Amino acid sequence: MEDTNLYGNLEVGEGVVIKGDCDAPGRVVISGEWIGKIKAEALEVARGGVVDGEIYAAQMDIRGVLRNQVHCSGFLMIRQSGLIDGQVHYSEVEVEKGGVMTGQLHRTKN
Amino acid sequence: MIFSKPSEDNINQETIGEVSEESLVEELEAEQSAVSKVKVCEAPLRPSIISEGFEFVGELKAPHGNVTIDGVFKGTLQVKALIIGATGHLQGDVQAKSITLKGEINGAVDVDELQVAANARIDGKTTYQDLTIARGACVLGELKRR
Repeated sequence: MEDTNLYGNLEVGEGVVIKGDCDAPGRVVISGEWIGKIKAEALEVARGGVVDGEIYAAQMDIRGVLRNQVHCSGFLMIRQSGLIDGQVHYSEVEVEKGGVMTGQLHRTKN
Repeated sequence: MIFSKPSEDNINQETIGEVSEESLVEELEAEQSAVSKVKVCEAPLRPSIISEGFEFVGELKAPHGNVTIDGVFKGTLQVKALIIGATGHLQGDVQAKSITLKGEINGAVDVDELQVAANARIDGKTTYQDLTIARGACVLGELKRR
């Protein structure tokens, strides 16, 4: 496997299930499942990825499922296959046609 | 009186026809700011327009029609296709098949296809089937998918 692990980044592969808290100064990519808390600079949930818990990030790119508490201080992008359910706090949001957003939305102006 | 065929490009042209009556009536009623009911429009023709500067208070039912709101609408709206322009402001309950929002909505929304443009704002309880939000839009309140 290629060693592409850059400083501050975390990648959870498909099929991997993690329960716990994470504080990453860089980019977090979830292709598997994460149950718990994630704090990152940039969060990417791949198609098929599931994150359930308290999620804090500056940038979010969602192609999978994001549940519970979502705090995006910057730009929240929900792609066609993305789904967000829960309490969502965002500064800027974009939803592609096909994307699903449910729950309570709050906007924080930065 | 010259009866001319209504042309496709002159939507606001005042020709004698069954649809213009509807939009004329609406504009008059909107101007007076009176509480009123509008006849159900069955023909899927040109949109009824609540222009900028007009305020409509009341109940509007056009389940097969199109409505464009560039002014202020306060009340209940039931329509097939709704376009709210950048200067449009809707306060109340909406039920539509499709909504293109460039202005502001405050209230309960029940729609099949919702498109929110940048600089638009939607606040309240929204139930949708298909959702598209452009970057920069302000979406608040409760969202629910049918």
